[in-house]
Amino acid sequence: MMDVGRHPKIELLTMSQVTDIHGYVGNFKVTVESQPRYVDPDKCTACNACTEACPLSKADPFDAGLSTRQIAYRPFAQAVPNVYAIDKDGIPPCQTACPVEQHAQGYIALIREGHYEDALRVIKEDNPFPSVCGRSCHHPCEGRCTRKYVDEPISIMALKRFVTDHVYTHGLHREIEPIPCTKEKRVAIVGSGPVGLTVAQDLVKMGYPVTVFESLPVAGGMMRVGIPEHRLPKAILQRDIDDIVALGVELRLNSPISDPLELQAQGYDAVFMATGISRPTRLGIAGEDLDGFFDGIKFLREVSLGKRVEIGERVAVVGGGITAVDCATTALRLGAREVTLVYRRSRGELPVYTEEIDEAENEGVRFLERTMATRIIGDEHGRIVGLECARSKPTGRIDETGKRDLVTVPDTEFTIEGDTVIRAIGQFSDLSYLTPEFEDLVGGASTLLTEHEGILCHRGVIPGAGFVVNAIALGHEAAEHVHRYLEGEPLPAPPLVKMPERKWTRDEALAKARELEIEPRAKVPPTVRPVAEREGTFREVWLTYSEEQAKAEAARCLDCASCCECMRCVWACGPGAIDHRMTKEVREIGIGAIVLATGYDLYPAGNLPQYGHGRYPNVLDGLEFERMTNLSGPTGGKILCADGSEPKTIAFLHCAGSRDDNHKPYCSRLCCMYALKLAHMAKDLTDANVYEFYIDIRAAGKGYEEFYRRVQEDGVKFIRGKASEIEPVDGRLLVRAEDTLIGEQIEVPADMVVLITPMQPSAGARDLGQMAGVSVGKDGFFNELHPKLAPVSTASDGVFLAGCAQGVKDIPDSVAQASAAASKVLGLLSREKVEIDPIKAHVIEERCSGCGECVLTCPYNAIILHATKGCAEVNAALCKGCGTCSGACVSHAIDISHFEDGQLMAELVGMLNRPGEFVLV
Amino acid sequence: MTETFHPRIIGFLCNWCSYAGADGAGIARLQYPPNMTVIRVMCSGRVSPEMIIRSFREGADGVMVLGCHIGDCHYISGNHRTAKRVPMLQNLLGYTGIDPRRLRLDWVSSAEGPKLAKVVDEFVGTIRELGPAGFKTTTAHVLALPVLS
Repeated sequence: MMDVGRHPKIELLTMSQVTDIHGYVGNFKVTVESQPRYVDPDKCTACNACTEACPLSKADPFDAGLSTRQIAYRPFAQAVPNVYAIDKDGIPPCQTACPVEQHAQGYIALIREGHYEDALRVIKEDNPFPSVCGRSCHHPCEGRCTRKYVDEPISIMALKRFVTDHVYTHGLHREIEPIPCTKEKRVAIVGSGPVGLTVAQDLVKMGYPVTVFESLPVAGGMMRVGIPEHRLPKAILQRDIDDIVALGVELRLNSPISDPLELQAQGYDAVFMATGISRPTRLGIAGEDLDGFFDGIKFLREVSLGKRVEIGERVAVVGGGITAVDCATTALRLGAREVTLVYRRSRGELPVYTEEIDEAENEGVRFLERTMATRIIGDEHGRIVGLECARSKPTGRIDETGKRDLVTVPDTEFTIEGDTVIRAIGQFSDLSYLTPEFEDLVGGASTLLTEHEGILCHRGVIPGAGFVVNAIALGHEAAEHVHRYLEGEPLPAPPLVKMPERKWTRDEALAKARELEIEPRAKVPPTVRPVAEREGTFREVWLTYSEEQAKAEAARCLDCASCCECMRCVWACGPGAIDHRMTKEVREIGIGAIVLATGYDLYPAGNLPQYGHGRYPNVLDGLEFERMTNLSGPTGGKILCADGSEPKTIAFLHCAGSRDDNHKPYCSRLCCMYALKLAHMAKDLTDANVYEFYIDIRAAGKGYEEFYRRVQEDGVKFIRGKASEIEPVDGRLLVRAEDTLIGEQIEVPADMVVLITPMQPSAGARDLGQMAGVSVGKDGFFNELHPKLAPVSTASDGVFLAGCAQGVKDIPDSVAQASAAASKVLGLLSREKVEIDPIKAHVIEERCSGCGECVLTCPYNAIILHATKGCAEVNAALCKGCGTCSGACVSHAIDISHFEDGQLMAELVGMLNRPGEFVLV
Repeated sequence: MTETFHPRIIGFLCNWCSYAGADGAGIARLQYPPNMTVIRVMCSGRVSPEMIIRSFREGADGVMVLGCHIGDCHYISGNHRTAKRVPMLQNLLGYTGIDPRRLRLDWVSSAEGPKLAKVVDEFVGTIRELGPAGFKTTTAHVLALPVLS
């Protein structure tokens, strides 16, 4: 194998499949689809670092599933090519659900293994604000989590928060080294919210010098001044911002920008406007200008900036988003005695998570659902004295936001007495701070370019509040666009080819849970600070997981996709050979001859229920036993029962599935010999009694009979009779059989039973045969051209057979046939010209009426109607000579050389008019 | 008449499946009635209705068309044509006075030697029951004009 791997004239296409073959001998075109191995074979040095880094493992097919291997792996020690690969099933659903495609399965796996630094590192690859998204994310990932089919989704958001808190509080290592500036062109970003800072981070990582301009005295945008301290402590947010600044981003606070052209004049080659959504939506009711009325966003901003905000004792908040809840809970903390949250829809439609509204209620917020504010009542001094509300009902129409439209129910008006009203019903993006020229600035839907050269902007007025994670996604997109703009590359960027999602159905998920023996177990609930401790303070409401809680929660992950893309292998790989974004490659190769050597599959022992393979742990198939005898195998060369003890009796059952009309009718030919070899090994490695239950011992081959005799001399007991069933009795396996030599039923108690199963054609061989024009026999093996005279050739010229693809055979025979096939190929290719069948169609033009029937019948599109002659014309290079055209032509105008109408007619006339008896004897 | 009736049967066998199947039957030393004379064609789609009619006119008592199973055709879809053409001809044969059972279409793969023997055996039995066809034209037909005659 090594020789083949190193040979300069042999190109090995691993992980590849033939998807199409066309052409003819000497001139085949083969389409090959190569699956990505995610490791560059030219760079991989087979150092094993990726395997050591990989946190996940699965059953190892090389050890017949008896041991496990990592997801980043080499199939076996002597593998050729000696290159590692990574097993991927697709993208896990949590990752595709995330707008920034966080590698959730990856960091969950790393938390489970205790690699917290790496977990944070992989989170930060896609998300510069993990502390924020660990606390305040709408976490669509959890909605798609496959674990929901078993019990509850994983608390992915809480796990992310745990990682950030753990790494920062324990002072663990983070990747925050300044990144050297490698590019000349400078970028200015206006706004330091999640979009602005994400763009800045991405561009700095690409090597651009970046400056961020922020009008407020603090950075973070809406994360800083829109989310109150008790939900997202400022110091926590500052950690993420500090990490971004540490990469080399220049952050200028208190720097309002009103004219982007000024920035360009200062020498910035690109300006990105990342100012968000701060223009409030108006309620459109009377009294929005009264004393005691606040806009929610402004209210939260003032409180966040530490300004003194005077609110009354009785507060009504209008709205139902998280901002409304935040306003209500902030008002309580500022000293309001009574806070009422007025929401016009029902509780179930509230766009916040239930635990958030539950905790607000626990703190004392009164929640009024299906209620609309109709009027703010003021007194003669212009001060608010109450809020008039009415019950609401849906009209049955859907409004432009996709929600049901509502109207008030007449005569249900009532008044909430109070002195403060806070409006929190959403906001718009705001560009009013710019000079009038730029007020309508908007980025192109797919390019983010504006009509001003060098100025990029988000997609304009966005109604309603966005989620932080969507903002980060926009940031990544914007950074890519700015980069492409500066490099002069076309916009929009061509779409990335991505792997499909690894989707799970409920049944699949439940089956996996059963297989892994997973018991339903609810998620670990996050701890919440008691209400008494929260009163009047801005201490954080939700607490982080403890390390034990986090590990317990992470252990619930079902590992949806094989590879979790935790990126540890990428960081561990010295030569930088690993690329998780590789995609499959399809190519067409021109070749002269084909050898089909697709080998065999082992007949699954599980198809023989009477022997209980898969149910009884000590019933093995031959391959499993063989791996056990191997020194580098799963047991290190020891033959052990499932409980770890050495078996005292081992029984080998020959013809388990072969010579049996219910399974495989043929003799698999080499099983007798491999059963004898395994029995010999068993005698060698253990002190066990070894039995062989056989029908006939077929030891035809050089030296085989001698080996049979030697195994008999080893003391192996041979019983002539096929075992009928295995029954577990008293912890052992009772093998029942008829000893046909003495004509009696016998029962042998054994500790281990090995099923000697037959070979069968490998899966997919039939499809490959169809492509290559080689038929299969009734057992599914490829048909040779002639069983005696042409055992290597096939009915298709230039296609040859070798090994078990053609029929069961042992290694010497396979090698002999392979050599024969090779010499056949050499004989073919050494010729300068190949001869192809002269059987081709030709048109007799004077008879052809140009009806086109032959054109329709030709399977190879080899016939066309001649444009001027008005008759059919055959392309001899495409014609294969089937004659279907000739059979269809009513005017005998198209004929097949060597199978002409006249020839066939003469043949049948001659046959039928032969004198004497018709019968051929 | 005590003389035994020996049916004269023409079999059009496709080169890749049925002809190879007949080879297989021979290698396996299977016995089947020797009444069928094989005419090898590259594909069962090569067989035109005219050849079948001509066989009856020349004295055949039965005609068999054997091809690859649908989906296994060496020429992708040549046998799809046969699958339409032969049943259509069977429908028309009745009008000419030829029992449609005298024409048989079947699929025999190269691995199905035993099936070939069985199909031929059955068909010979059918023809024996039906008796001689007797459509041989008595006029002097000319070999010189095998086509367009």
